[in-house]
Amino acid sequence: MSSEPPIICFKDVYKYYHAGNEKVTALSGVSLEFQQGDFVSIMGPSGGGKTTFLNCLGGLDLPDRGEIFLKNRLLNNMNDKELTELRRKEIGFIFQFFNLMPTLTILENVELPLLINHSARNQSKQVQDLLDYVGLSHRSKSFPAELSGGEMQRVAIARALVHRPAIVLADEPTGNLDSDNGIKILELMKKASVDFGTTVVMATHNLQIADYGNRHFEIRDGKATLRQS
Amino acid sequence: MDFLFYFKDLFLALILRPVLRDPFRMVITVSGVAIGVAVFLSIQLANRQTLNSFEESVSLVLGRADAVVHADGMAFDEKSFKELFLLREWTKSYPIIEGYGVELKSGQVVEILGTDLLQDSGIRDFSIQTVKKDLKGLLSIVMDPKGIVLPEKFIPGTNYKPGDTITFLINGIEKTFNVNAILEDKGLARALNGNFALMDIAAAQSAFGRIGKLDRIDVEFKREGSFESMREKISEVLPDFLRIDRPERKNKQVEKMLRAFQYNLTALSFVALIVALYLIYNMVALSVVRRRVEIGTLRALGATPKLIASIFFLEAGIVGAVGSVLGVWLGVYLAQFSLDAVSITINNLYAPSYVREVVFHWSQAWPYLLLGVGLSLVSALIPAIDAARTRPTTVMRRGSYDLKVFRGDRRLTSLAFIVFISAGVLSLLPPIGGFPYFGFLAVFFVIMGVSFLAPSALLVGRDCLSGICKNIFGGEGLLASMNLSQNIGRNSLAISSLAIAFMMIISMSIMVHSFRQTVIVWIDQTLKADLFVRVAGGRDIDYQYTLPGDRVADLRKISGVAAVDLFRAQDISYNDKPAVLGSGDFEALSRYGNLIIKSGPAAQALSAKMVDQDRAIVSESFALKHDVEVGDSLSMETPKGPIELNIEAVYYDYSRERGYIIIDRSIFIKYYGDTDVNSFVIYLTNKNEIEKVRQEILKTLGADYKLVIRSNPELKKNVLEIFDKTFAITYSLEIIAGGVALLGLFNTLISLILERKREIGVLRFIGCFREQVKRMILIEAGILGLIGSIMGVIAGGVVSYILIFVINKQSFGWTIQIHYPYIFIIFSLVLFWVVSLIAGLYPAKLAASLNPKEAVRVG
Repeated sequence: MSSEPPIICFKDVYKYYHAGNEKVTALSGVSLEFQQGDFVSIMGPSGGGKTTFLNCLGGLDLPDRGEIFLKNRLLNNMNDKELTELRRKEIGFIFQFFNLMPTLTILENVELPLLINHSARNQSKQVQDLLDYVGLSHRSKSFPAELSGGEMQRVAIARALVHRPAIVLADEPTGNLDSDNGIKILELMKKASVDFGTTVVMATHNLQIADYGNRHFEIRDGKATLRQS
Repeated sequence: MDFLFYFKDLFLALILRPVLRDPFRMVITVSGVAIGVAVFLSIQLANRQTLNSFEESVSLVLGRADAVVHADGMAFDEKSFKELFLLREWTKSYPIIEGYGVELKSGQVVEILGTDLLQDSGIRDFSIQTVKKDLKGLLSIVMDPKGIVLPEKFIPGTNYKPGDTITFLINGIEKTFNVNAILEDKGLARALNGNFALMDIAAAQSAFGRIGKLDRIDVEFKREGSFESMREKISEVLPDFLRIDRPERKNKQVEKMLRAFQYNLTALSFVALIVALYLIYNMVALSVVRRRVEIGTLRALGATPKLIASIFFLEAGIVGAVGSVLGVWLGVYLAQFSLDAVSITINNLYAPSYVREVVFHWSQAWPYLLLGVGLSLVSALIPAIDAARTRPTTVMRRGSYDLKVFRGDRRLTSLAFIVFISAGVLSLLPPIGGFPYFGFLAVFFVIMGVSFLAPSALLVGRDCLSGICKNIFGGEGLLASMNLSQNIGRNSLAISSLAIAFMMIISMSIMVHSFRQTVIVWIDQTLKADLFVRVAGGRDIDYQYTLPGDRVADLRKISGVAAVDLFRAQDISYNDKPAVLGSGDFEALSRYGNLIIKSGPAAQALSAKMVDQDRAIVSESFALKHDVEVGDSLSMETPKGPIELNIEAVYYDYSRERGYIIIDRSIFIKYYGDTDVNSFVIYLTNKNEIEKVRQEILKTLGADYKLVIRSNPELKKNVLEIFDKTFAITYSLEIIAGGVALLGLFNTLISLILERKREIGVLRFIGCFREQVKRMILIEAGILGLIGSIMGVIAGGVVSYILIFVINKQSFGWTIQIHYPYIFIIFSLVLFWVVSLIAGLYPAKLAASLNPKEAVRVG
């Protein structure tokens, strides 16, 4: 274990939600710690609690019990504005379905988090560099519809990294790609976590994909367990 | 039959339930359709009611007459009636006096018909309540020189009974009559909505100062024969200046006269309906988007494309039907307001209208219900076909969503320009039968062109504004502007409807403002007299009330009076079209007054050409309607025989759309033998003596006649008040259309948000504050409103030219100088834009409140 303080810390986190009249436990006493630069894979079956875990970590859900810390800041007490601010600065997202803005060019899609933060003017080089980094600078003027799935996910990675977040949350990032493209994306994510010192937390139900991580957890029936690789 | 059986269940599950699931949007869509149908119906009802009332009244008053003998609105010697006795084997004739008076208790104008009461039931249906079958009671009515008979449903609130007296202001003199009987509420008694009274011919001649004269003779043919052969026989025994017309001619003239006005209103009201139907398109299109997975599932389960299309057609049909039913219900109420407004205009411009209440039976609703439902189905056509063509494999894949971005459609843009050029060509074409069909078609083409141009306008708007928005508002600004090219169809329709509604507001305002300014310039330049005098209770649109010419001429002796110009006119038919023959003192006109001359010598030089000469000047609208110009001659029949009048000048006039022929007073007296005057104007030597002269007039003429004396500023103010009232309805219609268009924008924004839930969710994921999402939607609303408004202003400018120089010119024959109401245009542009932003408030709030993790999960 590293002596550095953990960048992410879950302490006995519980999360419930209601499906009809039934109370479902999504997270049940989850306690975890991730260090900076970790490439963490979260495995588990569908409905096991992976997405809820990522949502809690991304400040999109708050736990019903327990505490979540991101860079030593307790998320539980934050209001919507503070959580949004946190996402804006510290978190990047990669989705299964890429979720690029269809009306924006590739360059603008990558630039979007900076534009939202009203800081694009100072960081235009950063955007260009990132496009170079993901190998798409030649497509900067294209629209998402003109790209392949793999290319779109590379754009999504660039978008997730553009504001230099502390963590990147990826929910089934290869779920919509063929295996070749999936591997390329995973390689890129792994490389990015090293190059940018970013902690990547990736949810997947695929064991082979999970192997790309340096730490592995399984969430099943709301409980998280560490798996040895 | 099996299909119907199963479809009943499917109908509930697949159509009704989904419609009811979104009550808010359904209410907005239904309201929009209801308003559109209501406005259209209300104008139709008001128009039809007015026209029917005219036609019914004319046919009730004319009864079973086969021909009508008259002298174009002028009384003629009753000897002509006696001449018709020569034809007693072929015809039966009925003498008529027509006049009106102001009933003093109610202040309302009442048309009074004088007939031979003992004979008249042979041609007109009426029944007098107090008369016994042996006609004993009738004789006393006939014998009473002050006797009058009122209909059972006379002016509401007056409650006259036999034995009462009733006072009218007739020709400026208060005259009291004995109510001798009441007409049963049938036949003639129903004419003119109760603003009607019946007198014996002798009493009427005395009341209206037409002893020995008649206004009309109604003729019934006793034998079978063609109208033309009978006319020939009748004309042989009558003087040439008397006209023999078919009784329906008057109805046709009224219908023709009102046609342009009523078509204009219909076209305006149709705009609200068209704009409302866009809401249906929007609702169905969104329904298709939201139910894509459901469509895919149904297709996978074996539903045919036809079934899928029919789901959405029926959805549109239901909303269209509910909206139309509500619209008809609302339209009947609105019609009362429309009727009041339409009546004001008709009373001011055309003919007296007494219609008060809208009569409506639900059996009349069918065409409007069918129109509403039919157009709703048409507006659902594209989204329904889109749904039917949806591939199940594509839509059922979770997460599939449309990444396509519109990059422009050159064909559509080219089509827009072709349509605009066609509109230009159409506006150059002449009227057909005096009606500007091509002008209306040109406006319709401009509307089509605006719609075709909308997608390109969005792209231009996006390209122009994206940089600015990005720099000012950051990411939300960029997204808002770039979103213009997503869902291009929906956005295009939203801005088209905004642009069309705004176009109509702008074009009408330019037209009305130009007209108003032209009238202001015209009255400033032509109304030079200091006092304007006419008999009280007289209508501005006819010339029945007169003052004795010699007594008016004596006013010249009053100290301080420089000149008195005596005006006499009568409604005539020229080439079977209504016109006004007027006469005045050209000496006074040239010396003190003015006319704006279009062609011919200046007003100051006219006296030398006109006094004591068989010459005329004509108004511009007359010249246009009858295709005459300076140098042409006009042939007319007069009581003293035919005359040829050479046209010396064409002048601008905006008072009557039927047009004037003006001759010198000396010529009028020479050929018509009538020295009376309808009104007169006084020029003063010293303007400060206006009150003194007013008092002198009242002292001399006012003792015998009630007069309306207006100073120059009072008359000008009065003219503009009438003008403003006349055009009030056009503004109301346009504001309603604008309101419906804004409902459309509101609906569009909601639709766009629901369609873009996922994108909004992603924005929230990557750190967009709720406020930023709100701002993005508001910017989008603002941009859509701005593009719609700018397109509307430009198209409005173009349409205003068509309205002024084509439709108005061809309909009424008036030259209107174009004047732009800059302040109004800027104000309405800002207002429209602000209201667009307000329309975006709720959708913005809705977008900001979306749960991001739920939104991103939406496939």
